[in-house]
Amino acid sequence: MRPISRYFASFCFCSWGLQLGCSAEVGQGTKQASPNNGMGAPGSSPTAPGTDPSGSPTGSSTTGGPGSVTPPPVTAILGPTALRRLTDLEYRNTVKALLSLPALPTEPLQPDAWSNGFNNFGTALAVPPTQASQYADLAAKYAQSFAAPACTPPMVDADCAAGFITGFGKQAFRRPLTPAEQQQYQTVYSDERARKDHASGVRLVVETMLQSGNLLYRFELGDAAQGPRRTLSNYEVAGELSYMLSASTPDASLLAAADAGQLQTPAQIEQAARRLLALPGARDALRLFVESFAGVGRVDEVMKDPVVYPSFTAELRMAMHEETGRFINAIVSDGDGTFTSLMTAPYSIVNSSLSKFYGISDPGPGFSKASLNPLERAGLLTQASVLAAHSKAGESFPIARGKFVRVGLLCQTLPAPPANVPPSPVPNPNLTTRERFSAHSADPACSGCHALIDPIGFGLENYDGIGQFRTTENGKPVDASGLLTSTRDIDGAFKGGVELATKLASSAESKACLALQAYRWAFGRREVDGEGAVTEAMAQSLAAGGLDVRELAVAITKSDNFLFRSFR
Amino acid sequence: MNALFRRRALLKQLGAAAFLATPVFRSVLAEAQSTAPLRLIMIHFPSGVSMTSLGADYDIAGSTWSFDHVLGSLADVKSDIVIFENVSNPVSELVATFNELEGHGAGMRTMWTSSTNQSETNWGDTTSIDQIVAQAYGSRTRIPNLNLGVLTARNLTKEGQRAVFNNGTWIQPVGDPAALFTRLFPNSTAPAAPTSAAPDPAAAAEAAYLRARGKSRIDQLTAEITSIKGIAGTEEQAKLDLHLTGLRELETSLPNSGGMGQVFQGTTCAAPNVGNPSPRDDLPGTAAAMNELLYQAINCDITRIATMQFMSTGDDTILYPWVGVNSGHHGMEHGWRESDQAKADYDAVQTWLMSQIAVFIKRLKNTPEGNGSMLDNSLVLVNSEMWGEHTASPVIAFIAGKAGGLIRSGRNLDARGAAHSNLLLSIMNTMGLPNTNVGDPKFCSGPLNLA
Repeated sequence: MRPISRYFASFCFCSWGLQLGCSAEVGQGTKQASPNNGMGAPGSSPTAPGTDPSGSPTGSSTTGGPGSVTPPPVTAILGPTALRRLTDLEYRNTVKALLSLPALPTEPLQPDAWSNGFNNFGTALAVPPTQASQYADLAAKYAQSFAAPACTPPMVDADCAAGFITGFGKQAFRRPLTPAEQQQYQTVYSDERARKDHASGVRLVVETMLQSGNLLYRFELGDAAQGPRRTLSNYEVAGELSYMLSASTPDASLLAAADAGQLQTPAQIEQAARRLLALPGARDALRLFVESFAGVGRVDEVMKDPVVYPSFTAELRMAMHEETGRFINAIVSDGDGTFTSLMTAPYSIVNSSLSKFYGISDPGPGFSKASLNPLERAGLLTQASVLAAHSKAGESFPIARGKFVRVGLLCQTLPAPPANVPPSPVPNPNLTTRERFSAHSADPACSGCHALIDPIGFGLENYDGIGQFRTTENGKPVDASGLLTSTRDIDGAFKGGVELATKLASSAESKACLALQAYRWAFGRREVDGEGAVTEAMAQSLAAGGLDVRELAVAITKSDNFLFRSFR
Repeated sequence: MNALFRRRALLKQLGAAAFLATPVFRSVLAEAQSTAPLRLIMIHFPSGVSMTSLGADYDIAGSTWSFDHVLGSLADVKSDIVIFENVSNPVSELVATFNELEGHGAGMRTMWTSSTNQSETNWGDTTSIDQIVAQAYGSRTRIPNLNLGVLTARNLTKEGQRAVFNNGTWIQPVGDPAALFTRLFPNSTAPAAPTSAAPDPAAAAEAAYLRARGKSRIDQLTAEITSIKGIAGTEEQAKLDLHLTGLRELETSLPNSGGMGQVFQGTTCAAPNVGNPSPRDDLPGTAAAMNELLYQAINCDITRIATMQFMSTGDDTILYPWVGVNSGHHGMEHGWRESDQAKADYDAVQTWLMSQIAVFIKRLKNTPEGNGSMLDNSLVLVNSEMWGEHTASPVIAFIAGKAGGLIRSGRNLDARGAAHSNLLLSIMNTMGLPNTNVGDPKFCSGPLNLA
C-alpha cells in the first residue's frame, strides 16, 4: 500500500487573486520591457571583430550589388541582441568540429544557466572564473594532442604558421581575422616557437583560440558605421544560422557562402537554412528546442520519494528523458515534423523499463517505436518525462501542471504571486489530490488565479507524480475532468490528458505559442514590446507551413530580425 | 522605525556620517605582515527556520540563546556568535512582485545586495557586498573571492540560486567539487610556505617556460576581451569584466606567480582529497567536499572572501533521505504549522543544514592563528532568504567570528526592526570599507553596532 503524502506541500501561488485580480485577465505574450539589452556600440570603437581596419564589413558588402537587400523601414521593431556565450553543447560541438575530434569533449564545464525555459539566453550566460579555468583546461588538453600541419621547404615556419593562423582562425572566429589579430597570433606563435619549436607554437595558437572571447561569444553586431540600424555581416549570419540550426560552428560550406557574400538576402539565407536542416546537426538543435518548450530537462533534476515511487530509479529517469528526445527526433527530423504530431502522436520510443511503465509489451534491447494506449497517451504532454518533471516528490501537482499548460504551452502570463503566502491546507489521507487541492483553492483569497490553473491540472490527475497512469488514488476513483477558460479558442470542459492534448493541438493560441517560443529560442531573448507583429507573422508561417517545426525555423531565418539589428 | 533610527536617517541626510554609531574601520591595506588577515564568508541556507525551533529564548531580548534544536550543532561555538533579532527585509518584499519564486527568489536576490534596481530578467547595477569587498581587497589573494554552492545549479528553480551579482551580472555559484579543486589547486598541490632551500634548476627552467607560455596565451585572451569591450554595449561591460577577472585569476595560477597564495601560517594548508561526488546523487558527500574546499581556500589564504549557498531554495524536488526525509524541502516550510510530521521533517532538514555550516565554522575555530583561532579573524555571516513563516521579515541571520576583535560575540543583538541593509553595511564597515550605504538607500539608515 502506498503511504499517503504526509502533509500538504507548497502552495506558493495561493492568493494571487486577492492581491492582483487574477480573474480580470490573463496577459498574452510580451512582458519584458527592456528596450535594448544588447550591444549599443559606442561610436569610437576600435577595430571591431567582423570588420576590417577600414571599417567595412568583412565578407561582401551589404549595400549595393545584385545581392543587396533593402533594410526594413525605420518604423519596424527590430529586437536587440545580447552578447551570447556559446552554450555547453554549442561549445563542445564547436571544439569537435574545429579539431575534427571523433567524439564530443566530455571535460566538465559549469552547467548552462536557464532563463525563460531555455539555456541559450544571452543575459544568463557569462564566463565566470571557474568557467574560464575550465575552458583553459579543456583547450590545453585538446591543443596538446593537436597535430600541427607539417611545414616543408621551401616554406619557412613563420609562413606556415601565418597560413595556419589565417585558416584555423577563420574557422574558430567564424570570420576572417583582422590584420591586427593575425599579427597578434603570429606573435603568440613566434614567441612560443622561440621558446620551444614550431609545433608547440601552432599548438599554443590553437589553445588560445579555443578559449578566445571571439570564439566563445556570438556578437551579431553588424557594422557600427551603419548607425543604430544595422545589417548583419555575412559571417554573423553564418554563425546565427549554424548555432540555431546545428548547435555548432559554421561548416565549410556555410563559411564559403559568407565568403562569397551569399548570406545577405532572405532567399539566400533560406537556402542555407534548408541545407542545414537536412544535416545531422539539426536533429540535436531542434530536439533541444522542443525539449525546452516542453520543460523536459527538469526531469534530470527531480528527486522522487523512493517509498512512494520505488520504480523511479536513475535508469528510469534517464530513460524518460531519452524517450522524449527520441520521440522528438522521430517526428521533427524523421517524421512529418508537425506540431500536431508532437502533441497527439499515439506512440513513443521506449525501452524495456519504459514498456513496463507504460504497460505495453517489452520491445527488447534498446529503444524502439511502440504504440501506446490511445486512451491514455497522446504526444508530449502525456509523456512520462513531462509529467514527472511537473510533479512533486511524492504526488502529482495539479498547480504546476496547470501553470505549465497556461504559461508554457499557451504562452499566457500570470501575475506574480504575492510575497507572503498563507500556510498550506491540512493533509488528509482519505482524500484524493484533487479533493485536497480543490478545498484549498476554494479559499476566496486563492480562487482568482487558481480557477485559471487548477482545473487544467485536474484534467491530468490520471497521471501520478512520475507520470504513471492511474484510475484510483487512495482507494477512490480519480476524477480527471478538466476545464479550460480564458483561452483564445479552446475554452470548455475536457476529460483527461488525451483530450487536453488534442485540444491544445487544435488551438491557434497554442500554435502561436510554439512560434513565440521558437522565436525566443532562436534569438536567445524574450520578445520586446512591439515585436508582437513579428511573432504573429511567425505563427502564420507555422500555419502556412503545415505546422511543420522545420518550416517555422526557416521562417524565423527569413524574418527581418534575423538579418537586421537595432541599437540605441 | 524607532527614534534612534529616525535620528540616524536624519543625520545621514544631513551628511553627518561622522556622528553615526561608530563603525570601527580596520585598515586592511595597512595590515602588518604579521597580522592575521580578515576574512568574510557569507553562507546561505534555504527556507528559514521555524521560530519555535530556533530556541526557547528567541523572544527574550538580551537573553542568552540556548543553542538547542536546530542550532544545537553550534553550541560549542556559541561564544563566537552574534544572533540578530528583529532585522527586517523590506527590500525583498518590494522585489517579490516580479519573481517567479516570489518571496524565495526575492530573498535570494536581495539578501546580500539590498538592491531594488532589478526586474524579472535584468539586475540593473545590483551588486552583492562580497563583490564590493573583493573589489577593494580581493587583490591581496590569488583568488579575489569565491562564490560556491551545493546543488544550486537547477533548471527547476533558477531564481532559487541567484544571490551573487556584480553590477547586474549574476555570478553562478560553483558547485562541482572537482572543478573547484582544480581552480584552488591548479597544480594539484597546496601553495607552499616560503622556503630557503635551493631550487632545482631544471624544475625552475620548466616553470619559467610554462609561465612564459601561459602568459603569452593569457595576454592575448585579455587583449581580445578588452577589444570586445570596446564595441560591446554598456549592458555587456560587467559580463566582460567578469571574464577579465577570470583571466587574471588564470594568470595567478601560473607557476612562479609571485607571493600570491602563500600560506600565512605555513603549517596546516593542504590540498584536500575530496574525490568527485555528484551533487545530484551524493548531496552529503558534495556538501562535505565543498565545505573542506572552502575551508582550505581560506586556510591556505587562496582567498579571503567567499560565499556559499546550500541548495537552491523554493525547491520541492531536493530530498533528504539521509535524515529520513523523502519529501520536498519547500513544502515543509509551508506545511510545518499544519502537521507534526512536517514540522519534524522541516526541523530535521534544517538541523542537518546547520550542522553542515557548523562543520565549516568549527574548522576555522579549530585552526590556531596568532593568539586565537582563524575564526577570531573571520566574519562568517549565516542567513536564510526567508523566515520560517514564509515571510521576508524578520531575517534569520547570525555572525560567527570576531573579525579580528571588531565584533563582540556571544550575544544576541536586537536590531529593533532595522532593515537588513544596515546589517550588510555594518559588515562592509567591519571589513574596512568606509561605505555609508548598501543597495537602495531608502532602506539603509546606518550600520548596526557590532562592536
